[in-house]
Amino acid sequence: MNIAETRTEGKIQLTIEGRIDTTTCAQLQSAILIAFQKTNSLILDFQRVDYISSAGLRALLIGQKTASSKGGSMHLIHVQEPVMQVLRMSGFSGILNIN
Amino acid sequence: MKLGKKIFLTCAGMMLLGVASVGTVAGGGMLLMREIVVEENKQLGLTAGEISSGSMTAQIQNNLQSMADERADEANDTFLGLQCLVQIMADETTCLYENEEDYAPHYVPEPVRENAGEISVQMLHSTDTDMEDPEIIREASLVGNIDDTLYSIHKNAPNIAANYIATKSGITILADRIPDQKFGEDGEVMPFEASQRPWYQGSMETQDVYFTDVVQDAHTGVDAVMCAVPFYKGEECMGVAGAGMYLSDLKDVVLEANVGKEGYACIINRDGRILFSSSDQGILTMEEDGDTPDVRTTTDGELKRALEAACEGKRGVSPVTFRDDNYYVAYSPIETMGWSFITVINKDKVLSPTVRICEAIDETEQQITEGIDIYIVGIFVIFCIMGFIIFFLLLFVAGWLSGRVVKPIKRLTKCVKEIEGDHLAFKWEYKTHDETSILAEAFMQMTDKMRQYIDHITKITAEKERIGAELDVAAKIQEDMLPKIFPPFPERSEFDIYATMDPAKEVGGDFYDFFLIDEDHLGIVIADVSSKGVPAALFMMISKTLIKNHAMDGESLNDVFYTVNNQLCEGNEEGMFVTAWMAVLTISTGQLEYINAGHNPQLMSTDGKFDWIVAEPEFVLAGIEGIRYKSRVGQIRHGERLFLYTDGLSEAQNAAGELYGEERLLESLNRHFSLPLKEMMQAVRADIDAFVGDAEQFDDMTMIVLEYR
Repeated sequence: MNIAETRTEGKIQLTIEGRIDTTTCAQLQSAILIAFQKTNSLILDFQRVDYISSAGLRALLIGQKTASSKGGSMHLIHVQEPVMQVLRMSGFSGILNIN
Repeated sequence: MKLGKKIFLTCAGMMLLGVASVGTVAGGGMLLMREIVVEENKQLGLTAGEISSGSMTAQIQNNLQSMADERADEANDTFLGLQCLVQIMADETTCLYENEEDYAPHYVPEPVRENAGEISVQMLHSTDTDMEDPEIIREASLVGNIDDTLYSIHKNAPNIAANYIATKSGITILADRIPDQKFGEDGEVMPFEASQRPWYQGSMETQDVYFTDVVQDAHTGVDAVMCAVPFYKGEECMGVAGAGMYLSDLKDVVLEANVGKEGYACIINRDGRILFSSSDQGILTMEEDGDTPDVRTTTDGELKRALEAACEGKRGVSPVTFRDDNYYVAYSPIETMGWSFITVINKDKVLSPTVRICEAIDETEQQITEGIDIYIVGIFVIFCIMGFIIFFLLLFVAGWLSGRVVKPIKRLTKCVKEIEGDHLAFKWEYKTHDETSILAEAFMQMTDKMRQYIDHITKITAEKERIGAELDVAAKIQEDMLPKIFPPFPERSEFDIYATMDPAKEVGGDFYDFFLIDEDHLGIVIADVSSKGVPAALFMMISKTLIKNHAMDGESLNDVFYTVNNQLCEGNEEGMFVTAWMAVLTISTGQLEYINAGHNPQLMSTDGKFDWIVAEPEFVLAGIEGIRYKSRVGQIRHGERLFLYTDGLSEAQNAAGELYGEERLLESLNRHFSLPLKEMMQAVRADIDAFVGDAEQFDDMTMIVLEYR
């Protein structure tokens, strides 16, 4: 899994590429937490993410909780159908900002 | 090959090479030296021989020539002396004739027998001379005045046999010591025919000094040479003065000629006849009868040429060969007489010392060569012995050296071999101050590190074993927490349940549960904690306990999940969450109230065909506090089955990374619907295992099936 960071107008966008599973979720989690130390507005680009496991969901949950506690926001964009299914099935689609 | 042997062979080889090289060089040098010495010696011998022979030859020739010259001069002087005396007599007589008036008549008497042995001046005359003739008397009285001169000359010249004057008229006045021999048998004085004598005739003929050949003295028969000089009165020759000289003295001169040990001398006259010779063998010797032929008639070319030159009055030296002997012949003229003094020497004999020197040098050279050969052989033998000794010494040294090199290595090997099993104590107490020490130290460090490492590993292993044991206990506890006695409610015939949980790790995050809330209500739960291992297990236990407790309290499903969610959220810093699916079956009616907190959709059969239970998923448990969950109500018919599972089944992967998927699961379930619960689940599991193959199981696999009868 690769994560690329780009900044635009105080926002940080993390472009994630690959599978988010047990082995890679820690990487995503730390990337999200580091990003929130620098900004309140985080965008996660899921264009190239084709799978997310429950551990990956946990990283997103922690990110969402961080955003809530900081009064910021975390947006997911370009979420593909397989990932969307998981998000829907787990009810995450109800609590995450998915554009 | 062993190291020791290698070192030994290398050392021995190098040493052998060294010895062989030195030997070769030394041997070659000696042989070369021998060649040089032998060659030089040979050269030396030849040179010495040549020098010796050359110088000897020159020396001999010079000596021979100078001896001939000397003797010839000596002889010449003798004859010149004689000539001079005769000239004095002739001049004196001429003076008498020319100054007749100045001299008183002096008549010399006839020989007196008693005067023998004394010098006596006597008058003789020819038979033709008339001694009564006054003219003759007058002439005899005049020439008688010469008697004193004759006497004194005779007295002072001891080699003169007789000296005399003879007048044309036949008067002879002579001085000698043998007056007694002038008498005939008749007792009368014998006439003396001077004009018949060769000296008289020769001198009268030549009107000059004349020397006779060797003749025998008229009175004594001894070899003699006469010299004659004419005297005059005015232009008229009045007679001849003469003297005879015995040649015994001259002969002595020749015979005494000391021409080395081997040489000799001779005199030949102008006709090539040998007058005297000091040798009676070889060339130029006198015949026994004294009648020698002309030596120039010899057939020997070299000798002939030399003798012809000698007779011509030349001087020189020539090598000649005579009867296979080599000679040098030197000749020098005796000018007064027209003779030649010849010295002869046998070249071979005189050169024999030189030859002997050469032979001696050759012999010495031979000895030197032999000496050198013996010396070389000696050196060679010594060298061989030394080489042998050195070789064995070197073998010993090489052996010792290789032993010395190998010994520490062997010792090290022994010490290293002692490292075995738990015995890791490597001790090295030998100070060799070389690579073996470094190696040993490296070994020591290595064994130390190994020991530390092993200790570390042992500790870690122990720890791991402990953790493993604890995990086993945890897994056992977890397993024990799940109901797993089937059938769980044997007294209830209205339904049957079968369930399995197969954790991916020792302790999984999945769990299932079923319990009778009361006689008519059966609670059934399946859940999946969002992580693995011990934390998941702990979270799972809490979740299970909370759900069961709240459900048993008779709360509504919505309230159960609301409360459990809130309780799980408390202190959930790790952000763990649980997806859970729960249903409550009203046994009497078949009504099924169910609730889904983020779990995958479950399956229920209708007429023996499974299909998904449509339920809009709610958010997971323990995610966000205060979530309200909403249950749904459905109906299960008799004989139908409810199948609950976790995503470990549908997301099982094969080696190619393909997911097993809901479709395959559904198909498998329908295919095995007719089987009893346990067998059906085993068959489904077998299908999944067949799909997965050798790939690793990533997630827990939990299934629970309920049959409503």
